[in-house]
Parts: sequence; C-alpha cells; structure tokens
Amino acid sequence: MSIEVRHLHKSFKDFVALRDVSVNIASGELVALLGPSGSGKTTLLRIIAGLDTPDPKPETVVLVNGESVHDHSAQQRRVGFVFQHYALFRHMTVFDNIAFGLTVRPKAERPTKEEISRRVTELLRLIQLEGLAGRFPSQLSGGQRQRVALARALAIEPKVLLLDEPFGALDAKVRQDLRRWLRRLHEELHVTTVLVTHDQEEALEVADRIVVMNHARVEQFGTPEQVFHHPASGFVMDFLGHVNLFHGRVEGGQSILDGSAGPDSSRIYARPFELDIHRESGLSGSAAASAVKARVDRILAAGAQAKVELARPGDDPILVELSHARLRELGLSVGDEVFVSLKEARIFDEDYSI
Amino acid sequence: MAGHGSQGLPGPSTPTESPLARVVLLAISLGFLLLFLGLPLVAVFQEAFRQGWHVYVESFVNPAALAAIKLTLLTTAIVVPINVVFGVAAAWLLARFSFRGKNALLTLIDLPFSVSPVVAGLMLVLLFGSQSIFGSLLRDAGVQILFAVPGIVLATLFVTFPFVARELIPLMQQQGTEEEEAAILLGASGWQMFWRVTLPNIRWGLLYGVVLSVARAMGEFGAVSVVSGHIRGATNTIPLHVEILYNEYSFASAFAVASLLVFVALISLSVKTWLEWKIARDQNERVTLAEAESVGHAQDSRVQAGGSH
Repeated sequence: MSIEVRHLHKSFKDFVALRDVSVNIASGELVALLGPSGSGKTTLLRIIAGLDTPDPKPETVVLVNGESVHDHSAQQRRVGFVFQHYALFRHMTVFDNIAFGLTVRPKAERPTKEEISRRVTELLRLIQLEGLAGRFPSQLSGGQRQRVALARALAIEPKVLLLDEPFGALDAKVRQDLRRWLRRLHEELHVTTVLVTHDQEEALEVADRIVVMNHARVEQFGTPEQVFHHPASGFVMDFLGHVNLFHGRVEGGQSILDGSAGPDSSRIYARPFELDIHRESGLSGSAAASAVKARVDRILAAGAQAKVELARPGDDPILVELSHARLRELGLSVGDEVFVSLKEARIFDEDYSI
Repeated sequence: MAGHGSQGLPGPSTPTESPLARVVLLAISLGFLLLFLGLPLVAVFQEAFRQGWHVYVESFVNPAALAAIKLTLLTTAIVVPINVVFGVAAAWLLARFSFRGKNALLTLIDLPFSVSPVVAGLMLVLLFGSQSIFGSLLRDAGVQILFAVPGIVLATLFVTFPFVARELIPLMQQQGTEEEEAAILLGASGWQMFWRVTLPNIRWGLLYGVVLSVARAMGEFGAVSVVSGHIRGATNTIPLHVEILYNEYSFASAFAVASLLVFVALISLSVKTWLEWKIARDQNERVTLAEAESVGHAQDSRVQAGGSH
C-alpha cells in the first residue's frame, strides 16, 4: 500500500525535526530514509507509525493507501515496526513474541490457537529460525533477535513495514548478510517498506528509492543511481561517499582549478574515482589549468582500487582512487610532487560547506 | 550493570593492600555487626524464652496481643495495596512523561524519608484533631480518625508510600518505552500493554518495593504511636504492644512479641536478598546478550549461506 505525506512539520520545543516534508512512496516499494543523525528521518518514520503526531497545520496530510490516517491511533494503524534495539518482549519466548500481535486481538477477530501456531511456525521458517521457538530473546544473537522482531511485525500482516535503523546495533558482517536477506524477503512479500538508516551503503544496496534528508528537510528523493550519480546538492554528494572539494572557475565548459575564492568562483566536487594523477603538468593549455599540484602523502594499495592521499598547501587533502595498473604505471612513492586532474566533476552553486 | 562491567577490571581487593589490613578490616566489620546486630538478636530470643515456652506462647494468645497482631495485619493489608497502585502510577508518570514540576513531585515522594515519623504523626493530629476545622467537621459527621484505625492506617501510609515508587522509577527509566510502543503497534490496547508487557518487566522490582513496604508497615512505631492513643485491644499495633508490655515490666512477654517482628525482619531480609539476586541476574542477562552477539555471528552467517529457500 502506498504512503504519502504532504507538508509535514514537527518540532520538539525549540528543535525543528521536520520542516515542510513531502514524500510519496508507491505500493510495494522499498524506500530508505537516509541522513545524518538529527536530520528528522526517525521522526518521519514515527509519524507514519502514529507514535508521534505532526504539528497541527491545515495543509499537513498523512495518507496510507490514499486514506488519511490522522484519526487512527498507533494501535489501529496496523503497521509493522522494527526497532533498532529489537524491543522484543524479554519475558516471552520467541513463539510468544511472534504470536503477540495475534493474541491481543479482540475475541471476535482472534485466530484460533491452531491457526496462530500455524502462522508462527510459518514465520519462523521465513526467518530461518525454526528450531528456536522456545528460546527467550536473551538466548539469541543480535542478528537472530532482529529477525524475530521482523517476524513479529509481519505476523499482523501489516499494511506497511517500517524499520528504524534495523541493523544499526549489529556489526558489519551480520549487517551485510541481513541486508541481502531483507532485500530477498521484500521481493518475496512485496510489502511497502520504509527503512531508516544513516549508512549510505545500506541505502544504496537495499532500497528502490532513497530519500536523502538533512536539517529537517528532504534534500533529494530518487533511485540509488540518481542520488549517487546525479546528486541534487553538495550535501547529497558528500553524504553518499567521499568527495573532494576544489575551488576554481568554470569557463567554456572547462573547470579552471586556480584556487580562486572570489565572488564568481565555484565549488567543484569530484569523487575519488573521478580524479587522475599525472607525473607532470606537461599537458595542453586548458588541461594544465585544470590540474592541481599536490604531494603524495599515503598510498593504500589494499582493495579493489588503490587509494592515494595527497596533501595540497592551504587546503583539505585530496583522495584519489586509481586502478592498480595505473598506480604501477605512475610508480608513485610518498613525497612525490604530482598533478591531480579532473576526469569528471560537479558544480553546485549553493554555499554548502563540507 | 556496573558490577558486571567491572568484572574484567582488577578489583579493589587486589595487590595494594597487605593481607594484614584485610584481616583487620574484616575483623572490624564482623565485630561491629556481631556487637550491634547479632547480640541484640540473640538477646531478644534469650529474654523471650527466659521464663520458658509456656510464657512465650501465652504472650501471643492473650486477647490484647491477638488484637495487636490483627490490627497490624489489617493495617498492612490496607496500606500495601494502596502503595502498589500509587507507586506504579507515580513511577509510570515520572519515568514516561516529562512535565513541569517533575522534580518537585520527586522530592515530595521522598518527603516521608526525610521527615521524622513522630512529626508525621503530629501532622495528622494537627490536621484531624478536634481543634482543627477539618477534625470537628469529621467528628460532627461521626467519623473518627485519630485514636482509631483510620488514623493508624493514614500514619502508616505516610511513612511507607515512597518504597514502591522509589524502587520502580529508576527501573522503568532504564527499561525505556520501546517494548511498550512495540506492543501498541502490534495492536494491543493500553490495558493489554500494561498487563502483558509493562508489569512482567517490573515484577521483581515491584515485589522488592512490596517487601520493604510490608516490613516497614508492620514495624512502624513513631508515627503510629502519636495517632493511636494506645487503647489496649483496640488501637495497639505490635510495636506499640511491645512498648506497653515493656513499660509494665513484663519483659518476657515484651520480648516474645518482639521476636515476632524479628521474624518478619528476617523473612523480608531473605526475600529481599533473593529479589536483589533476581534483578541483578535479569540485568546481567541483558548485558551478556549484547556481548553474546559477536558469538552469534558465525551462526548467523551460516544461516545466511544455507538459506535462500
């Protein structure tokens, strides 16, 4: 089912958590809310769930499946919610945790004991924890507990599934496994899912579309490909991966990296793999102008790509990613004076400082 | 939690102190305990049995003693449930909501801890005495508060009401609201959430508060003494009865009845210790869990690798 919010505002005393936020999520989509902490992403999720209420404004609308849920309490909304720290009922077994949402239904709607048992067993199979129905949460690992939390949320056949940093408390390896597993699960169930995360890699890997948030606003809403390759702002570009900042001018489609910081100067952003290193500036006129002199500080040759850190006088260091072949060809060593040139770059007019 | 965290660190009992210092410290503490807690306990029983079993049993079965025991049990039975309801409500309010005057309310809850029980009793006398407007109104309506059971209940209530709330507030703050939110989101009503999630999570802390409450309610002397009027067979509780017997030089009986209070103390002490162990274990479990996560990883990845069903 679709989720639509329009003109959402939310403030806690002096702190503004959401400022005129509008997002439209299609049915069956998996959308990531991505942003640094304090950007409002969790607040947005909690408002959709009904755990928080938006500031009362006439233009504010929260629709689930095209229907306003303003008058529905969290109890009535039937959303599946997964917390970062699992929030499993610690005094109940895995079975009772998963069955909870079914057993609290009013008598008339409550499934029979056998039906509940059948559904829980089914869900245990789905999360691959068939043998652990009798365990208590304290007897499970973090990854297992998060899967139980997910099964518990799915047991009520939710209209939408909301995940609040679900893998945030787990370490890298488990996180990656669960991430892939979640994606597979989503393809199987097709429940509209909103996932809050501050991990750009997670968002890029799992989501169909990403809402990038910063300072209580939506910076960009698009597919992983769009936000990564066509960032709408310097913030989005910076948040989705390492970025190098150059000062210069743009003339006739060419960026001149002269370091000028005057009124008509531009901020030029380039990712590490969009840069190249040259031994000499012995290039033609315009190319020479778009190269910056720097000194090799560190060479990290481990990994699929080699990383070279360069220092430049009076500015932030530059990070360049090269193929190992290119690195060998250059024969760099620490302390070498070289030139860094742009293969590709983006210019943002607004004044965003990294 | 703190105890658990310090496990890996060198404890304070390691190298710096000499064995001699340790022995001396131990001797001082044990000697102190023996002198001021152990000996009086022995003395109570020794005095109680000085005139033999017969007098010991007789001290309980006479009508005045039975009435005192009954009144003490009645007072406890009224006061403790009220404390439970008030304590849970107050703890919930203070742990779950932030509002203006929260600190003032916390201080008010602590008030009985800092006010002398005798002063508490005098406050009731001032409030309900025949000179006060309130007291004379009640008397005209035929309601007797002072020198009667209601006064004793009120006095006991005043001195015991912080126990449950004080025990639950930190516990509920530490547990947070996520489990409760999860219950609501799964469709539970407020009551269902309370009975099935909140209460089971605080049960040991609640029981701990109840034990403290019971012990104090049965043993309270000062406040009750002021409002009771010491009417034998009517407004005497166990501690008051002990005092009267003592003042009448019936030492054996006084100590016999006092031994009853000692039993109450010993029982609540054991239950208290057991509960402390339980609560600590529950908390440790939660900490261990977090650590166990790394152990669970290998298993997790196995499941992932084998499970594309």
